[in-house]
Amino acid sequence: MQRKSLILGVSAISAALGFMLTVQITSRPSYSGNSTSYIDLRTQVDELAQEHQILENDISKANAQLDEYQVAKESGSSLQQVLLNDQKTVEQQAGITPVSGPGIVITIEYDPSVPAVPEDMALYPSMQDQMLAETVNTLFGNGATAISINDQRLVTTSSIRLVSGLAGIEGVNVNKVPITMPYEIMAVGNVQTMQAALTVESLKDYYNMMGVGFKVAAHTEKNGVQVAGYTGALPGQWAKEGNG
Amino acid sequence: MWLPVLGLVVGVALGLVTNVTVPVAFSSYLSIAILAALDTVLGGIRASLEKSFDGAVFLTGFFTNTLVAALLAYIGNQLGVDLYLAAVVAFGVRLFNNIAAIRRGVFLLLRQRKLNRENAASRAQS
Repeated sequence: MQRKSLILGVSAISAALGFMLTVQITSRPSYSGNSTSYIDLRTQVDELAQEHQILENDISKANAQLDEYQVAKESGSSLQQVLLNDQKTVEQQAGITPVSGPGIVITIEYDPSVPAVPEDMALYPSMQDQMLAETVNTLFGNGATAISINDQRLVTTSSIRLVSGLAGIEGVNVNKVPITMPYEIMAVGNVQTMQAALTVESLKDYYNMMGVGFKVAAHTEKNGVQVAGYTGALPGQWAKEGNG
Repeated sequence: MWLPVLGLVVGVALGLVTNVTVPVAFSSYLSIAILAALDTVLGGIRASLEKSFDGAVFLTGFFTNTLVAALLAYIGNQLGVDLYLAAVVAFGVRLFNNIAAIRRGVFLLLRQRKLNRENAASRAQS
């Protein structure tokens, strides 16, 4: 009787042990690699903590570098602003941008009412380029800061040329663009100085002798005269610097 | 004799059928408890071979060792000390001692049986 109860007890304990073993084996998460013990896990945690620290340091370094870049960017933007201002100034000086201000408008066209000299009238067609050049040079030399002839802005590379066609008709090209009468010269600058210079040079008289009217209109208001910007080809547009 | 083996099979089947899962946090406690239970069972087999088996000691030893081992691991975990290692070492050493004793006991039993058979055969010849 005692042996029977003993066997039953041992059997019950065996069943409990089997149950515990099965539960433990089935509950244990499967690892892809070799079996991982608690100590291995702690070692891995330590390694991960060290790696975490290293990554934290990397983040700190990256943040510091980012701050440097931000500072550099800000200084770069101010530099960019200065360069943009310079570009704007250079463009204004080069005559690329339209300008406005007080100035004079000269209209040159044939006028039968002027006291013309017949011999001189015949000369005008072949001299009109020189007359225009003389006029704008007088203006440039006496206070004009921006001049255009029939909306062709005069810049450092501009040209005023007399061209003759096959029929013998002579015309004027400004900035290689043909223009026709009436010529309208717009000049921004000191109105009084320009007017005085034109009077001193007697340009009106010369034009009148050739049968051409020379009317000067002064516009002293703030934006009295508007001179167009240069739209032609720039010097470096086609020709590039060579390697040699 | 086969009843304990049957009990083991029933226990394994029960564990598979019920599909009970132990949280990972308590997995180490159950491992120590199983170690203690194995030690108790092997100690019981050793005692039966040495003719000193006591059912009450066996039963109480099983439950006490299992619970104490799990409790020791839990306390160690709470204290931040790897106390479960002490239980692993202690039960591991006892486990190997019991296995060695069982092996010796089985050998002695087999030799005794062989000797008995030879004696019986010699008596039968004479």
